[in-house]
This record gives sequence, C-alpha cells and structure tokens, in this order.
Amino acid sequence: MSVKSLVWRRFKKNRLALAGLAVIAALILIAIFAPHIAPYSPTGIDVNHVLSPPSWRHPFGTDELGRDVLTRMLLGSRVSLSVGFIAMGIAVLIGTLVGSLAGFYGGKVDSVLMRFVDIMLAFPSFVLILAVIAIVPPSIFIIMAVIGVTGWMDVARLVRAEFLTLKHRDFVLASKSAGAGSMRLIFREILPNALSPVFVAATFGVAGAILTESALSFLGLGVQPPNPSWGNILASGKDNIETAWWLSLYPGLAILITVLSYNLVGEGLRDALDPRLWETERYETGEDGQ
Amino acid sequence: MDPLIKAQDLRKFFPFRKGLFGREMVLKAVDGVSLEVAENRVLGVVGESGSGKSTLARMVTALDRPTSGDVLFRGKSVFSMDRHELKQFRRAVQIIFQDPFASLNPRATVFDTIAEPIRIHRLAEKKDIEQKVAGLLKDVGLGMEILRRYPHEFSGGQRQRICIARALAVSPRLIVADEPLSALDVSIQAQILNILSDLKKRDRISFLFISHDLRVVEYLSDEVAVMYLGKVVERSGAEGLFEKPLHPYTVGLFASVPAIKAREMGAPFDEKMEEKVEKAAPKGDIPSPIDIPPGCPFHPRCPKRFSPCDKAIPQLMEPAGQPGRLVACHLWN
Repeated sequence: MSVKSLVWRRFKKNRLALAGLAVIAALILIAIFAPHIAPYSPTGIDVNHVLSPPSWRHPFGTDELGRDVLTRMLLGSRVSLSVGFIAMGIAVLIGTLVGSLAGFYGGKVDSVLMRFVDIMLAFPSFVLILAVIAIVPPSIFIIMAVIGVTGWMDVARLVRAEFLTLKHRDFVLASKSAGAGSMRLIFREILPNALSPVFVAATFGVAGAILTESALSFLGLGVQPPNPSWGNILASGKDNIETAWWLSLYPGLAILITVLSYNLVGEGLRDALDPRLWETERYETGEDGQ
Repeated sequence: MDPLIKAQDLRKFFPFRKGLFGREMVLKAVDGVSLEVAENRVLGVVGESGSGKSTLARMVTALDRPTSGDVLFRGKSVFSMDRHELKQFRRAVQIIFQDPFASLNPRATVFDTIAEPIRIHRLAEKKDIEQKVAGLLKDVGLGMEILRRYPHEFSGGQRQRICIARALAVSPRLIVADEPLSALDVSIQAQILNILSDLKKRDRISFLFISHDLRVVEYLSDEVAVMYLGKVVERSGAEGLFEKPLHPYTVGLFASVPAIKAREMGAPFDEKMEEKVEKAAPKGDIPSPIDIPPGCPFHPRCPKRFSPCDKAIPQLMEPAGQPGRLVACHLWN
C-alpha cells in the first residue's frame, strides 16, 4: 500500500474534512460549468426588476441594476477559486524554492534568504498589495501574482525547518553515499518528505487568498465591475443593506462556506499526513512484514 | 601497496555553548583515531555507545568532514578529491546504518531505492535495471514481488536486507557497517550476519564493522580496534585479541561475553560466573565525551590503575613481547 492510500484512509475517518472536500469538489464543478448552468447573463441589466427579493425567477434576488445575483455568484466562483489556487501555487513555488535552498545549504545562503523572509514578513502584506495595485491597473492576474508574491514566507519557513532535520537523516546520507548530487538530494530525497506540512499550509493559504481577494474586490481594488466576484457583489450589497439583504447574505455565505471548507480540509490533512500516526496504524491493521 | 582505506589521526570536535551565556565547551566525539582496512579484510570496531564509533563511520565514508586528520582511499585524500574522483570513491565505499527504519526513504519504493545508485553511476542500461535490482534482492534473500512496495510495509530485518542490497548495487570494495544488527531481533541478527559473511567470502568485500557486540565481531573480523571515548585503546589481530586481551578495558568487555552467551542459551543462573563478570566488567558508566577525564580516559573505571594513569595520556604502541599488537595503557609501556 502506498503512502497516498494510507493518507486517504486516515483522511476518510474525519467526517468534517470529508464534507469540506465534497463542498470544494462541488464548487470546482460549479466554477467549471458556470456559464452553462447560469440562468441569465451576468451583465444582463433588467430595469424592470431592480433589487427584487429572492423568488422562483431569481432565487438569490437581483442587484441594483436588475442583474441576477445567482448568475453573478456562479461566475464569481471562478474568480475566487482560481485566485485561491493560483496565488497559493505561486506562494508554494517560491516558498519551497527559498526554503529548500536555505535549509539544504545552510550557512550564509540560509542567513541571507531567511533575513529576506524576515523583511518580507515585516511588511504589512495587505498594504503592500494595495500599494502595488495603486501603481499597476488591477486585473485578476495582477491580484493572483501579488497575493502569491506576498504570501510565500510561511511556506519557506516550513520547508526550511523540514530540510534542516531531514538532511541529516540516514536515508539522505545513504543516498549521498550512493553518489547522489545536491539536486538529487534536494528534489528526490528530501523534498518529497518535506511536503506534508506544505500541503497543509497551502490548503489554509488558499482560504486566506480567497479572503484577501474578496476583501480587495470589496474595496473596489480587485475584480473590476461589471465582471462579477463575490467580493464586489458584497460591496454593492453594503449600499443597499437595509433594503436588499440578499445582496450581502448570499455572497457572504459563499465566502464563509468556501473558506470554512478549505480550513476543514486543511485540518484533516494535517492529521492524516502526520507520519507519527502511521506506525501505529501499521500494527493495528496487522500489515507488519514478517 | 596502499591499504584500501586509511584513517589518519582523525578528530571530530563539536564546539557548543551551554545556555546563552555559558562558557564554550567542546565535545570530543573522535580524538585522534588512526586505522586501516586492507582489501578483503574485516576490521571490527568495538566500544560502548558514546565512544565515537558512528562519527568515525561518517568520516570514513566522507559523509562528514573531520575537524582534523584525513581519510585516504587507496592513498588519496578523500576530502581533496575532485568531483570525478569522489564519485569513484562513492562507488567503492558504501555505508549501512544501525536503524533500518531511518535509512530508507519513506516515499520511495524498494525498486527506486535500490535502482538509485545504479542510475547515478550508470551501471546498467535502462531496460536492464529491473533485472539487476531483482538480482541484488536475491543476493539478500528477498523476492522481486516486493519491488513496488514501500519501506513502511517491511519488518526491521527486511529493511536491513534492502539497505544491504542498495549498498551492493555499486559492487563496492568496502562496506562500513555501523551497528547493522543492534536494532534487530536476535534471530534476525544471525540471518543478516550470514549475508554479510557470505559477501566477504563471495565478493571479497572489505568491511569496517562497527558493533558493541563482541561475539559478532569475533565471528566476522580479521582485526579489531577497541574504542573508548573517541580513542583507540587497543588494536590487534582478532585471534590474539580474543585469546589474550591486553587493555584492562578490553579485558572488562570480554569478561561479560560468556555470561551473556550462557544467559541467552538459557543456562541456569551461575553465581560463580556472575561474580567473575561483576569483578572484571568496567565499573560505572562511560563518562561524557564533553568531560573526558585527564590522563588515561579509562582510569576512573580501571581496576588496575596506578600512579601515572590520571596524569599522562598513554600512547598507542607495541607492548614488549607482544609483536603486531598495539595498546594504549601504562601497564604495558
């Protein structure tokens, strides 16, 4: 049995994490097929039905321009999910690279890289994001890149810590003794064993990135109208919160459920990936070799 | 002719500071060890835990740099080798570790683990790798049905076999075995020992065999070095050493062997023998390598200490009337 199936077996036992995974899977399907399942056009203005409450025709109501909120939310899910994934992907890539080099080589390389991490951490990243977006025109790609570039430091620290302990382990020494070069040691021997905490951090990070994007869009600095995103639907809701509660409630709930799901999956992964729990598992299931 | 591998006055010190403002201290893990292993010979290294055996193993295999001293492979310093020479050295010298649970990559299949050295040194065509790996597994008594399985699915003995197969993949000239048996059950120990002894006979591989188990060392070794607190205190051909140990520490170590053997064989409790063991065995625990006693490091535990022992450090030299042997003890100099 591979490590993957062991992790899955442990993960399955956590009902909440499983529910979170189901929600995320559903959201991904929705995001992929959004244009096909959306009942209206996301930019289709209907002046006769401005701010109409939820009904059979408009299950989530309409906004101040008479656009269908359900349609806009379905399409907005594409923004949230892709920003979450891609921003975190960038962060994981940078963080893993920096952390690997710092942890593997140690000494001066480590000092320089980790001081750079300290400097990056000292920046209030949200303000940094705002500053960047003030200079370059906001687009979804800029947002992804900026969230990624300001969010890799935790990953770097985790990966570095893993490398510091793993590089002295016997299996790494054995590989070195077999003649493996630095690149093979880093990428084949150490990195695959250092990724568990990264997966966990990345899952939580996706949730954080989704929140950041929503906040930016809410402030009008993210996805620009008329393109829909959960954040900017929420923003239009705040102007009408006394009369049109559905404009705030539904996108708010969508953000809440998505972020919660990612956090639940993250926690499930954290438990399932803990290698200290595997050994006991092996004996429990009677799979001891001889 | 140059010996296969030669350690010259190896030292490994770890400086550290106790607490933030504590004074700087030095842990002397290995303190001036010289030894050689010739082609097709087995040098046993014996000593209690904390005597610096594992640190020595890592320096001899160039996995760790010594504080001073040198390791010569066929007369050439391994720490000043260029890339190409170092690769040749890695092909010739392999290491087996004590803990087979820690020495296999948990994310790699048995095939990947054993194929790695073959790929690194390009020892087989791509299509022939699987066949070669299967052959190596057969040499250590494992079948090829385990190729796609992961380390966590195996017992300690099976894992140690896999480690040996990995070491054999490059057809090494020397295997440094760092306590390869001590993490295993007694019944499994015998199997692994047989594999190693077959390798010595069949493939004419040399061993630097590190162990605290004298019976195992006696079985396998041509020569023996006894280590105590980072120093070699006695060196000799195996036969002479087991017949007549010279250093009081070696005498003490050996005194406990027959009793342990008898106890393991299930012999009834023998009061006389236990008493004899009690008398000869070194008293108390090995001192910390941070705080090595002055003079002879063994003197606080030595039953035969006399005036010079706590002042002068005895040098490793040939005692009168014992040609070919070396001992670091004032009694013999």
